[in-house]
Amino acid sequence: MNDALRIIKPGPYTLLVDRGRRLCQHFGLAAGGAADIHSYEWCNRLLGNPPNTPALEIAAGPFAAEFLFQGHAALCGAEHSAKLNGKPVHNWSSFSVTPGDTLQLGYAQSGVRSYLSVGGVWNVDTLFDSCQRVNDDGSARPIKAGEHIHFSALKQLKLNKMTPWNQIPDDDSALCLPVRPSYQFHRFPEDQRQALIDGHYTISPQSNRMGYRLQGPVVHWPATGIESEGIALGAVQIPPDGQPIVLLNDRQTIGGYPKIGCVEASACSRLTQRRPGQKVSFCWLDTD
Amino acid sequence: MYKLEPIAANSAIVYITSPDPITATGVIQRLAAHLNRTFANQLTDYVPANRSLLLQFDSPQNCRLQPLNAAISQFFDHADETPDTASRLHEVPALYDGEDLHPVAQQTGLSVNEIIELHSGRVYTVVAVGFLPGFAYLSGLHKSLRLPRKITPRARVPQGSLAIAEEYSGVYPQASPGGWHLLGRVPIPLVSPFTDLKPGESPNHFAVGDQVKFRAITGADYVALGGRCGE
Repeated sequence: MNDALRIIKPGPYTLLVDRGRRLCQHFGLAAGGAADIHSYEWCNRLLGNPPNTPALEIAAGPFAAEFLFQGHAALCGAEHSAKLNGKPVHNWSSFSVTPGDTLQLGYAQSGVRSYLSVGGVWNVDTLFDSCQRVNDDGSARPIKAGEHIHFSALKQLKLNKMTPWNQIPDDDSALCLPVRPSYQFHRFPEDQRQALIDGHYTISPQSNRMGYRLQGPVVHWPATGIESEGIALGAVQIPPDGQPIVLLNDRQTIGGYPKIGCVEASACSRLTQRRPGQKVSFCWLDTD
Repeated sequence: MYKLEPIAANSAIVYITSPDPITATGVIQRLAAHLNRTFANQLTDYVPANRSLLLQFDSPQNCRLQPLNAAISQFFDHADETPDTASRLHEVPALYDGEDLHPVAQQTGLSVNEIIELHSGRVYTVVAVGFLPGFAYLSGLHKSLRLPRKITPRARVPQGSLAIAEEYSGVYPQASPGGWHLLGRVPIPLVSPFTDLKPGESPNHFAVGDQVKFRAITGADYVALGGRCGE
């Protein structure tokens, strides 16, 4: 099949993503996966794609790509004022494309990452059951200008679909991250746990797919280091400076800093759509 | 024996409470293999570390403490019957010319030659792989060489650096920031490029549970073995 997407402007950090790698973390390789899994899943749902179909995660504009096929594409996630051949396209919806159509994304007005997928079967290599590409050293390999991504587009005429309003998150709103108490939670004194819950934290510019660094009230760990151990998605790590880090998809697999608990996966998705300077807070998750 | 704790909606951790780390490593390896068989399609990832095994499932519905506890208990009931996973001994050439040899000598009160003898005279056990893809934590450093991590980490540790911290030795598979003390350089790669992996193939030349011994070499040997220079 010659169906393809030609990347004109890749933007500073665009990745091919899916639900992530499996059975790779004991090699020290992060599982990865779409940072905002909610937006990613809607992208494929709108197109009727099977679960785990690849999509592009576009972390920032300006992005431009040309469609070299007849079919459907969908866009979900951050608000990048997308235009198809210069005309605005609805975010959180699927739309028809014909060969030569060009999609452009500007700078995000809201949120961080946009997800773009096409209706069809993608012809991509996999590693640990995922389409995500890596460099020799295991680090993520972004999409480059001029690249062609190949797939077999679904030719059936389909109606364009829109995500229901109640499924579209507002990523400009206040975000409270539900934390499940786990790991070293019981070894933090009560007043330090309270400091985390009472605090308002600002997202630091050093935030990325590995982790979101937060600036705000210090959480103090009263003991020395801990034995290094495996880190789950959303773990809230407390380094020596007391400034929490929420560890995300591309986190290191093991670490030796104490962790006070884990942010729920769906809240991790919302966090990755917040930008440096936005504020977040924490609340305990009721697990009963 | 062990403690099982929930970590997040779809993950749990097993802490091994047996006395010595080397025994724990073998137990964790066999337990990981057992759970990988028991929960074949539901277990999406597991992370063995020095004293623990993190388990991640494909959904919260499949991460239930009761069946997990049952499977772990069953493993420990028959632990003596399961043979140890095959462990290999690797000999790794090392040029002991690291930037931190003299500071380590000062802090330990040993001479540089004594450091080299103590470091290359031990057999280490791989207890975990992580921090960087393919970075193996080698446990078993001689007591007199044990130092805390540097207060200020280096911004860049060159690829192939042989380093120590606390009870561990490790070889940096790629250039990276790092807080360990540099003793030297290893001329051969210990990790295959992730881009060339065949399905089911391990990128790491060392598996958890394997044993590693370092052999001191000269600068000429280092070059002959294809070691990188000038970093």
